[in-house]
Amino acid sequence: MKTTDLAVLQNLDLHAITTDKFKTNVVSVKFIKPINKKNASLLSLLSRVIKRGCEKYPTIAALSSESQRLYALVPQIRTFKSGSCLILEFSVDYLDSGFAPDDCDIEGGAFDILEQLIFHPLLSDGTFKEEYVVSEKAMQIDLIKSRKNNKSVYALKRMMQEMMQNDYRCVDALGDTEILKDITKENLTAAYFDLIKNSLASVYFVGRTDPQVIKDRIYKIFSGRVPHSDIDTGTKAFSGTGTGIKEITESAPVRQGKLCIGFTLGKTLTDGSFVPFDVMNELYGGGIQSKLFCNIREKMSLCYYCSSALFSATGIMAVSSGIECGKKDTVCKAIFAELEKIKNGEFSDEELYFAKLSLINTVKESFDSALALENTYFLCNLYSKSLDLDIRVKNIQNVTRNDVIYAAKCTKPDTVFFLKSDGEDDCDGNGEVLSDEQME
Amino acid sequence: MNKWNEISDKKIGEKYYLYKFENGLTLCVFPKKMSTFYAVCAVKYGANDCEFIPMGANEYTKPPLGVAHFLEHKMFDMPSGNDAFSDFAALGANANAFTSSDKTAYLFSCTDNFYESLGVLCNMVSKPYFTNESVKKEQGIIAQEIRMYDDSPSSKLYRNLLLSLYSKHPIRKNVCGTVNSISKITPKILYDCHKTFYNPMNTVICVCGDCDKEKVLEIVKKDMASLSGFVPQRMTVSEPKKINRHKVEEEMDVSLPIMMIGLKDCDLKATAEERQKRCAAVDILLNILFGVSSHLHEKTYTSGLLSGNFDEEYENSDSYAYAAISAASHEPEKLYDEICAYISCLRLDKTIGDDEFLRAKRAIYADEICAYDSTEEIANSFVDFFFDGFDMLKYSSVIADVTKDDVISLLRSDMFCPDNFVLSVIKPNKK
Repeated sequence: MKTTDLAVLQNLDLHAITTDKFKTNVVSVKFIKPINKKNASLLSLLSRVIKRGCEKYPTIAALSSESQRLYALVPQIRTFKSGSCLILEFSVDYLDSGFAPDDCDIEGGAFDILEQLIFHPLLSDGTFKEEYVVSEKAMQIDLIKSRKNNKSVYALKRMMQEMMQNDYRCVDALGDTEILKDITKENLTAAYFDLIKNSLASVYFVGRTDPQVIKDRIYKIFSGRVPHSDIDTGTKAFSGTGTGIKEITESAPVRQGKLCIGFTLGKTLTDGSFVPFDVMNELYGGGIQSKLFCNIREKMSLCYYCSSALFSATGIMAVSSGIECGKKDTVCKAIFAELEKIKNGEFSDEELYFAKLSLINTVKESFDSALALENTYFLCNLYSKSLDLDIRVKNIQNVTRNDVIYAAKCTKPDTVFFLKSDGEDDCDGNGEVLSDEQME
Repeated sequence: MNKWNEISDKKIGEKYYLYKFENGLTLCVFPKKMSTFYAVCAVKYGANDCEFIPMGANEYTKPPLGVAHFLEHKMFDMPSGNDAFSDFAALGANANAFTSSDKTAYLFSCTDNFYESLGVLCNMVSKPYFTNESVKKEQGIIAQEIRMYDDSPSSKLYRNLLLSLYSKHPIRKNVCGTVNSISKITPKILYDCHKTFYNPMNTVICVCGDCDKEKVLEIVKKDMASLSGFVPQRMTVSEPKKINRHKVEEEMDVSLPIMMIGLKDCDLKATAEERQKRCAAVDILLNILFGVSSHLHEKTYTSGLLSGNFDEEYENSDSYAYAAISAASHEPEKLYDEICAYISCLRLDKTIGDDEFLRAKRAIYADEICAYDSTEEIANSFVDFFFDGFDMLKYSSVIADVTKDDVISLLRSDMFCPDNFVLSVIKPNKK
């Protein structure tokens, strides 16, 4: 595996990872804009409308037919956020031509589709088609609303909303339903032209092809039309709600309560000493060796899942668990107690070693997926971190017991969100009236 | 054979090695130059095996629902008092397990200490250890797992579909059981089930990664070679060809209706070759009918009837087979009617275009080849093909051999007759 960084044009770099590990290649172009609700709504809708049709493939069926002809290559346009950045990504994931049973030029087709999607959207009288904008708006709003279908995801989202209510990064990458409703074909078209002129762009590639060949292909697509903008991609830690622990409880027709707790860390991954937070999170609730899994689930039988995750660009840790509604206080207490143990140094060297091993395993595994590798490379560049596996492993190995204790001490509970049963469904396992055969 | 058997396919550039132990255990080593090792030990025992003759007995028994899944949870308890999760964690391996209708699988992935982790896996699966206390403790955890699925609309949608497609087949059974049924599980029941099903003739181990097959063999031999083989006797059920009911509807807290259409496939094939050929043909036909480039998708998406895309899948075994198509729509019944009308029309009047057939075939072929980019997908896929009695490397040729006539005749078969379709819908709560 070899990384190559090439300047394709002024303000446009290609970051390539050459490897024969995969049978698929992936190329992506990322446009970065500052994060805010308006941008998120516009870009998320833009990603849908562009996919509805371009000059050469004016319908979804036409684009999909061409993609299938090219051995089911996958053109994707998605919006996601990281710290202060909102990213609109165009990517194509395609089978390496060497594995096609005929001489189909898959790569040529992949770059043609990429160019079509980025620079040749389907416009009518200078704007996106009204019909496409209206229907995609409705579907995007449906998609945002459908979050509540998955109650664990919904609870986490609500906790983050409540916690970051007054922070400029409290933005849903899918957009805001009220803002979406007001978007017209005119302002969406203006947002498109603004994107391709005033943003920060970069290209990523993972696969078998020589980076020089990829560079030439990208040059042809972008020559004379590289966007530019001075965007501050730096990020700072979320400082907290500042009002003690904020507690929110909502009701829904659920049979299991969903508990989410947000903590502030006071640091982000751009701070030099962030790796101890990664190790602390792993020790606390990162996997099967963690304190939350071993104690809250295995020893206390309080749940099926209980884990923690880091939002490293904003400096937040979130714990999620599915529990009996009547045991919320017990579980909360137990979750806080496990963090206290780490703060007090109540963990063995063995536990610390296991946490590090697990983290190293996760880092190494990410090098075995073209998509994960491409995404990791992008984030490393965005935050000036090294992709080098040896350096990353060494950084984890060098974390000491005191580093972890310090990280835990910086970690402060901020918001507790609980989604409880509205009382119509049996949440505590008492009212089982159906027979096994009825329930099957 | 008692020696390594090499199976390869030059076209897709892959090979694997098989070793058959005298006691019936099969070991597969699939070399892959990746950092991640993935190993799976799978037992042909799932929720469908709900009535069987236990080893050493003469009569059928019917343990409580959810016992295969319960056993999966409890196999991580070791006689030493430790649990296997800790042993895996000590090696930096990420372990997990799952139970389906047909099988139970124990797995781990790691980037270091692979051979030691494989030792933990073999040791764990071959040495059951259950106590009253540990069984009771697990009942609380699994009760929460059951409730988690109760709150999942997609899970409910799928369950309702199976209950409507089938009237007798155990595929109707909920893999986790119920809070009530798992409360009846005892250590004795678990030991009996383990003895019956967790034996080498009913087990396969597949490892995928940059490993030495001889070292793998040595480790597997240590715990598994001395076990005795046994072929479990399961109760077979005669499932009528007719579907159980045409429509099932339930209300849940969802934002817009979600739906699933079930196509019961009663043309069950006797051999693995026939089953795989049918699987490839069905996948191609489903792609032609419901894929993003299909006329049906274009029509229903642009009219706003379909929200998002269709998602289609096909499951087949020697005792059941069905296709399931899921979607979201503000008007599920109207979308269902459109789908039925479209398929009826295609069955009567039209044929399938050469282009759309070729494109769909390429899409299915590419999906198959891309699966070889992941050690996890390779090992899990190997297990599924193995339990069906088929060589996974041959599947890309099976896809290539499907003809347009195969697909047209499938389209005209009973499976694709809308009269036999089932519609499962979850609608938003009225309140």
